Amino acid sequence: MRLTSGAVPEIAVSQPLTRGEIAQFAGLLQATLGTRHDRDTNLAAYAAGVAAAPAGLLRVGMIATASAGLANTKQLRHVIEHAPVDEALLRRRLVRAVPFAEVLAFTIEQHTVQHGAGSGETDIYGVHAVTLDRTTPLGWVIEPIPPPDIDAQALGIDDVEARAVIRLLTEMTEDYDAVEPTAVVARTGPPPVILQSTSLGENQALRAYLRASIGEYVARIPGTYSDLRLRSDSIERVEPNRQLQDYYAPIPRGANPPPRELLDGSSSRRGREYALPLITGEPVEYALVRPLPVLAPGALLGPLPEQRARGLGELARDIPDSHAAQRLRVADLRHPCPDAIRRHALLVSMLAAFRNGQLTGGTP
Amino acid sequence: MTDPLTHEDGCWQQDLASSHSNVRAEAQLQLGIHYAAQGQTEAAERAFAAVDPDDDRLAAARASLRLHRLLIAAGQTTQAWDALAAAKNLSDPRHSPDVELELAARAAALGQRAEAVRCYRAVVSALTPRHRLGALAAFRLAELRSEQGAGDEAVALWRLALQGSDEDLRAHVLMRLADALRERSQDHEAQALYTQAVATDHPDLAPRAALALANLLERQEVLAPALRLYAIASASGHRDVADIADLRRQALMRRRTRVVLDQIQRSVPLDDGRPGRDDRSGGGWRRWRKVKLDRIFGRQKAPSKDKPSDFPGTLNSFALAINRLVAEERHRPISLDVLTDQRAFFRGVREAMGALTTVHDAVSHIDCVAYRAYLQTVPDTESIESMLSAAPRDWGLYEGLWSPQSAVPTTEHDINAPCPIPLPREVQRCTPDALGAAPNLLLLGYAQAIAATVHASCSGSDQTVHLMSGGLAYGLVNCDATTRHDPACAGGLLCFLDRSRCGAHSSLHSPT
Repeated sequence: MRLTSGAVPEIAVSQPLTRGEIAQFAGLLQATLGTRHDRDTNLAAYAAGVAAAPAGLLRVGMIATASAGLANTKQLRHVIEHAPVDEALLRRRLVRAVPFAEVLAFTIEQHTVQHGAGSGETDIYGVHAVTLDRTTPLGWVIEPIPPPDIDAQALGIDDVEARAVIRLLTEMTEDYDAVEPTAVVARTGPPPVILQSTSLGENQALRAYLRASIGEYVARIPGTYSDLRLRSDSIERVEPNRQLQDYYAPIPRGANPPPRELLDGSSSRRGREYALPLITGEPVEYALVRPLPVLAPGALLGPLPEQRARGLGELARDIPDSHAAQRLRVADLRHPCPDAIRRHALLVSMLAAFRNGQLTGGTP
Repeated sequence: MTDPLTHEDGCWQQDLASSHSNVRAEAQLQLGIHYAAQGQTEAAERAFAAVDPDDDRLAAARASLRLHRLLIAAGQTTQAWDALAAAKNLSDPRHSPDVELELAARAAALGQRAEAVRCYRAVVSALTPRHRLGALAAFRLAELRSEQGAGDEAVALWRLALQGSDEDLRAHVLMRLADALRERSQDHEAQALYTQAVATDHPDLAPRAALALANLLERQEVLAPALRLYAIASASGHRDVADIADLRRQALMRRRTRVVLDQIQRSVPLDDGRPGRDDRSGGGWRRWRKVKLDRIFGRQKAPSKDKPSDFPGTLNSFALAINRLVAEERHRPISLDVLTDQRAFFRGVREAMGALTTVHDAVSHIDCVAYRAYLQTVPDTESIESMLSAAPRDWGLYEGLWSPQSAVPTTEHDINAPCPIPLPREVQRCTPDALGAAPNLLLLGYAQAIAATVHASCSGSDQTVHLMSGGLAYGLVNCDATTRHDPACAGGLLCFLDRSRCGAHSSLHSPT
């Protein structure tokens, strides 16, 4: 299957909104969140300020300036930091714009913002629904590194990553359950999840969670990944600690090497991961794919998982990282409060969907 | 291009500067592997050459082996052989068995079999076959010895390899050992090994094992499991196995059906119908067993005496009852009125019905798909007229089983429906003369009753009797032109048959 646009939409966030659009967007927010007119007007003003702000770092004061008098800094700071906003309603409005039946895959993207030496960093996680013609952000989690909560500081980076992605997927699942209660049942299974970041792909705890909860997934991993045992031919080399890329190198030009099963010692082959080169050009990109083919009771799996893994790999290959955190200017915002960054992300996601025509219903 | 020195947080860079010599050597080796995978051959060669044996002999041995491969590919043979020699010097079967295995593989590929055997034996001795790599060495050595004609030693080595084989190797060992034992006619053990190979669900070898095991079982006339295994291999989607397995499955089904039909035809009709429950030690049971259908149906044990509804016996009993009916009614047209008067007729039918009421239990072990598949092989052009004219009356019942596919009822019918089963296309094309051949059409109906029974038991339907009675009714309705289109006749018969199954009624009732 070939996606029509590479599933990376041109989301027009960085173009100023007209007065009419701002009013419509405020109406959409009001219809989504309730009847707090001032708050929704200020949220729309915030979004308009983001759209009009010059490229580069964003701060609330700069957004207020760019909003051309729609709201002042204090108002925007209040609305982005403190104003009571049920963010679940915003997410579900986004979810409603992407019917579950049309979702080909959910992607998890990760972007790290470095705050300079000694200042730590912020990890931005986003979950996106990929359909034939576009990628729609559905939810965000912002994780400061090191984590501010004391309990989390004892966690390793893998645990923090896993916690963030689990939260993203849990929220997204709950949102779909709320919006389309029977959607999951109507499909043969949930769409696969694609982990776009190689650091997420290497996270074994996260993959274990996906195996238990989601089912099928594709996790991009670096070719240097070596913590795996692949099914081999009996005359193949058996050197320890082999890098994944070593199993495949050299890949002849135009070749499409088959997926290779990861041996995990379990009694059943069902649900195992497969490694494969996702893109064989320069540089070669690799992935771990977990296929779950439909199988009759008592039947042999045979080459079915391999075929399914290949299909999932082709799907993932056509869905590159949309870099939504950068395109939507989430990564540009400098703010000490993760909750404010998340609200900013949700708001600009709504704005992008609004300008793409996915969200309607606002009245000027 | 991804550079591990930056991409991996500089971990290799840190390791390259480590104060621990083995860490340093391993980092250098991994860096070379990375360069080689990225196509930076010269950088890889430099990295491999830089692994210092004083830091880590084993890492140096592995690096030398990799360097050898790169140099061979680059055409620098002199340096390549030097690198290989260095690898041999640094390697040790106990601590770097992976290097020894590859040295052996290279020797075997170059025709230096004695050297290869020596390397493999060294690993087997150093690690014992219970070690994963020891088992691999034993397996490869067995392959080599098998090629050299030392079959006994090869089998012994494969058995050794089985002790330590891991998940990856196990299926290979099982298959090779099973193949070797089958060639030596040690079918029983081969069968057990193939079964284990199937259980591994290996993507390539498990379907092959299923096919091989099915062949073995078919050769032993264990047909039902063979059919099942052919079906499994066929459904696996394996590109080399699936089509062959499907062909074998179809061929076996045809053969099996022919055997069943032949056995039925050759069976000795009983004189007095189904043996009674009190006749367990009498001649009746012995004569039943003459049929020897149990073997055909893959049953291991003799039919239980407590189960007189055993399918072969049931079928014979049914056939006997029908034969008697046919003998009585052969020369007379059958109409509803006649049937009403023919108490003997109904007694016979009731007997037959009694024998068949539990037929879905009795035949549950039969792969009735075989029967349907067989019917599909009968050309459509084979007209019912030619069948009727060719079939001697005494065994017309059995010939009825050879009727075309469309003569087999395929759906459950409603007992209250006016006509239980649509008239087959072939019958519709029959001339009035053919329809007038009442006894033969009656036979056809009975044949269809059996077919319906077989089909119903195949589909696990509880409506076995309904379908079977549908077949009977169909035959009866068609046996006489005057009653052929009389729904009351069909419905009445069905009603009767259904109730007689429950033992509630013994006479014909009109449908309500």
